[in-house]
Amino acid sequence: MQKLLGVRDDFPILSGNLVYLDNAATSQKPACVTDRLMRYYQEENANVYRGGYRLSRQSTDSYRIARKSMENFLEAESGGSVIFVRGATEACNLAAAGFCRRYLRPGDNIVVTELEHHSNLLPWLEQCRMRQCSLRIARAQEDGGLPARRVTELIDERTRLVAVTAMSNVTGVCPDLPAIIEAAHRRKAAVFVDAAQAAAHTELPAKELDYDFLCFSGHKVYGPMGSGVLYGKRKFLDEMEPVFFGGGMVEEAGTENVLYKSVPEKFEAGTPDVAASLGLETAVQYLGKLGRKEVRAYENQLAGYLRESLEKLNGIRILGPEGLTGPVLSFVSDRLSSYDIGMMLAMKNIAVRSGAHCAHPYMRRLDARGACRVSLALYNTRQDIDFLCAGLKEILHDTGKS
Amino acid sequence: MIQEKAEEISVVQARWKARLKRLEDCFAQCSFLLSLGLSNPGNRELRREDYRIPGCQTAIWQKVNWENGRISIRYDSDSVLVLGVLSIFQELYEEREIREIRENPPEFLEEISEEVIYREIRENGLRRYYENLFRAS
Repeated sequence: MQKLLGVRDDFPILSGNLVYLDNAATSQKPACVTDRLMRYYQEENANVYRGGYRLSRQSTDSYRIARKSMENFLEAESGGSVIFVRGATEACNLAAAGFCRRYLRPGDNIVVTELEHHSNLLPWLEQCRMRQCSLRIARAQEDGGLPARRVTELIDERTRLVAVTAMSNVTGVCPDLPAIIEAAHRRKAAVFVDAAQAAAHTELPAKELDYDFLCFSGHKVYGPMGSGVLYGKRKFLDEMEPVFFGGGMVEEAGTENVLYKSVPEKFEAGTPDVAASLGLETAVQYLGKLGRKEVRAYENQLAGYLRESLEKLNGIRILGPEGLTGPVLSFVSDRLSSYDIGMMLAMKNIAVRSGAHCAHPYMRRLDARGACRVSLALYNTRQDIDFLCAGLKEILHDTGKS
Repeated sequence: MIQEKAEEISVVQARWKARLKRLEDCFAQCSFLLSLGLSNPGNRELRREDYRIPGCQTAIWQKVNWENGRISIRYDSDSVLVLGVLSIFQELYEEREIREIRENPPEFLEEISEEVIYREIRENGLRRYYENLFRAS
C-alpha cells in the first residue's frame, strides 16, 4: 500500500475538486503517459517500417519494444502474439471477422454470455447471422450472477468459440474463466476473453489461463485513447486472414495475387498509432512499478468500503449478486432515475455514468432500464466515496425520495 | 399551470424561453426543472411498451388522442428532469390544433443547457415526442 500513497499526485487532472468515479468509461492518465506522448511527437515522430533514417528506425524499434511490453503485461508465451488495435471494440470486431471467416461453417455455433458489453456481443451476432450459425447466449441469474455451468452447458461439438467478459462493466461480476476455458477446450472450442474492464484491476496471465484470444483497451488501463491490444495464439492468427487491408501488411501485392506479411503485421494495415502504443506501454509500466497485487489489494479494500457505504443509504439498490465487491458497481433508485441522479451528482462535481452501459441484454436481466455506475481506480480514495454518499444522501433528501 | 388557451403557443413559448434564459446557470436550470417535474408528476399507468418512446438514457411514455380537432396528451418519464420539460410541452400543446402544433416546434429546448438535458435526449426522445403529436392526428 505504501507505493499507492500519494499516487493521486501523479494525475494532474485530479488536482482540482473533481471526484472522478467513472473509470469504467475511461481512466485518467498519469503525467508519465502524457509526457511520453508529448516526447514522441516532439522528439521521435516518424513512420515505422518505412524509412532507413534514424528517426524511422528508432520509431520502429520503440513500437516493437512496446509490443513486447504488452506480451509481458499479459505474461504471454511465445505461442501468442500481440496486435495493436484502437481499443477493445476494434479487437472484438477484428477477431470475430477473422476467426469466423476461417473457422465457422453453417450449423456451427458461438457461445456468448448475457453479461457482455455490446462490443463483445454484436460482432459475434452479426458473424453468426452472415454464416447461418447460431449464437447461444448463456443467461445470467436474476441477481446478475453467472455460474460457469450456465456457459459450459451450452458448449457442444459444433461450438467453435466462446466469447466471455472477464469482468462485467455493469456489476463487476467476473465469470469463472478457468472453468469456462477448460470446458471449451475439452470440446475443442476457442475462447475469446474481453478484458476491457478487468485489465486494469487484475492480472490475466495468458500462459496460466490459456485463453485463445484476449483484448483490452488502453484508455481503461491509464493509457491513451486509441490504443489497445488483441492477443491471440499463433495457431489461430497464422491461419486467419486479414480483415483490414492496405499499406504495411503485404510482402508483395499484385492486382490478382497478394502475399501478406505474417502476424502481427498482417493485421495492422496502415500507419499505426505509434504514440498511443508507446503511451500504453508507459501506462502498463507505471502499473507494474506500483505492483499489480498491491493495486488489486487496495482497490478491493476500497470496493468493500464503497459497497458498505452505499448499503447504508435508503432508497438505493445495488445491482448484482449480494455481497459482491469489485471496482465496478451499479445501483438504481426506486423513485429517481439514474439519469437524474447522474445529472445531480455532476452538479456536485461527482463523475459517475448513467444509462444502460451498452449492455442492454444484461440490464434487461437485472430488470433495470438504466443504472448509475460507480467505477474505481487506483487513485480513488475513501474520501471520494464519502463525497459520493454525502451527495447521494442530499439528492435523495432534497427530492423527497429518501 | 392552467393557461388561457386564447393565448397563441408562440406567446406562451416566448414566456418560457425568457424564464429559462433568466436562470443564471445549469445548476439553477436543473433545480428549476426538478421542481417543475416534482410538482407535475406523470401518469404511471402509461408505463407500457406500446407507449414508450425508444431511447437509451431515459424513458418517456406518451399517449396522444385527438378529439374534435384538439389534442389530448398524457405522458410520463422515469426522469424528474424530463418530466419538468414535458410539463412545459404540456402547457404549450395540450388542447391545441394540429396546425398550431406544427407551426410552433419546441424552441424553448434551446434555452436548456445540454449539461441538464443531454443532446441525445433532446434529439431522440424529445424530438420524437414532439413529432408524435401530429403523427397521431
